[in-house]
Amino acid sequence: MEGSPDPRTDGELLAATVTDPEAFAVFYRRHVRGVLSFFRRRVPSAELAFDLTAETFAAALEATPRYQPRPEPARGWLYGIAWNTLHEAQRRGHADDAARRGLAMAPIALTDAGIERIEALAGGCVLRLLEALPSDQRDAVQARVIDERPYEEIAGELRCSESVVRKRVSRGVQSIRAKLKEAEL
Amino acid sequence: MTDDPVALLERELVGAAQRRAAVGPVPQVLPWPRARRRRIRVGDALSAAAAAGAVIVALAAMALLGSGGGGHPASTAAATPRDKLIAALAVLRRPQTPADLTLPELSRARTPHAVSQPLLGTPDRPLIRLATTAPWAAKVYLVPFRPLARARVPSGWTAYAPLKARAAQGETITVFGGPGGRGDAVRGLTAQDIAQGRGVVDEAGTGRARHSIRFLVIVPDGVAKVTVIFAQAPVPGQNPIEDLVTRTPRGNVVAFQELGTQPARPWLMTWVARTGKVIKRVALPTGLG
Repeated sequence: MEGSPDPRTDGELLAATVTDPEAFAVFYRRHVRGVLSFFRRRVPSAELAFDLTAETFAAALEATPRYQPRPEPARGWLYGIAWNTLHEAQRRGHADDAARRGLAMAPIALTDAGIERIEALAGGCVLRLLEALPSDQRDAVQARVIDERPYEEIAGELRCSESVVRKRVSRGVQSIRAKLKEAEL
Repeated sequence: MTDDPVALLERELVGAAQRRAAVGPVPQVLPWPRARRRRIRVGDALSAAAAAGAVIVALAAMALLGSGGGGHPASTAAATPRDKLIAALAVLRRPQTPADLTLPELSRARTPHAVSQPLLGTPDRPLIRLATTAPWAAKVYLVPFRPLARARVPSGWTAYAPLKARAAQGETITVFGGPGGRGDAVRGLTAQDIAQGRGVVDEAGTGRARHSIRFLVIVPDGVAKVTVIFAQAPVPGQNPIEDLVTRTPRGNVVAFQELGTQPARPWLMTWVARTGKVIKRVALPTGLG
């Protein structure tokens, strides 16, 4: 997975993809883990997260000829596609594969080992540990760490002070860290 | 290695990229990959010509009936109200950030339907955007709302005519950004409303600035500047005093604030394109501020 670091920016890689397919491979390797984690945090299964990841990168590849460098990082462009893919899947009730079909990509069958690999990359084990937390800590960690919401807003929702939310998040994260250490992950 | 789906996906993507590179460059179209275009087959040419003829006839009929209003050009017959809003407002097409979801009204209950009201609808959370911060420090959010699903309509409301009208509207934008950033200021703007300059949101000055005039305008893409003519009430024996104020949209929103103990009234707004061409002139509603 980890090749020698390519000095090109994401934008340069996307621009080069039209003539150099390997440039997209570099872009993919840079972001696949982040995109997988993005989806894994928002959908119930690793299979669906992988399906959406595949569709996101396929849609990105389809769109590279139209990509125009802009001041904000190209990562934002990729995550914009990821959001669209996620919303479309939520609206339809299943992951679309239009971009992959359009590119004539073969479907990838997932084995148990493959699913484990996705879970490891996307941090699925952390999500399982999160589920095992006491409900007050779980809600706080979910809201702050996963949904990235401000403390003030979470405190309002959970009807407690900001310092209580901070304490719950801190305890929850510490607990997850400790269990990860125990499992030597 | 063959069990690694991430590596398999990389191989598939590189294969697809190689096939595309072999075919050659694709013509440049829309810069943002939102709407997937339909592939046009050669066999469709005849039907396309026939459809074009039908469109010309339809346009002629609309012109004869006087219904050819000037709306935003991005809309198509098949586009939903949501699609039209997205096509009209670039701020909705940018990726959502955590800051976009900091609207206090959204956090007052656990569900995203916290700000739902029968006439307002259900917030389209993925499309909520923090558009800008007004000069009076209020955060201005654009919150698209879907009409309330039939099953969620409270009993006793089903026959309420405004609710039926709301359902027919489809998705609309509501602006949140009153003084101090609280409260919804205007409801139910469709893409057509915005294109016609009806997205004017009145924000009466409060406290120290109670004599000021504050208002927000939602403008569609393509509007680079908005100028507003403020005119004082005529005083007998004196020349009328006019003031021209120009602002640049941020996040498809322009905020105007005029301070003064005897403020002039805003009465005409002009939208100007980047080229300097006037796009539209809109008479502002009376009583703003």
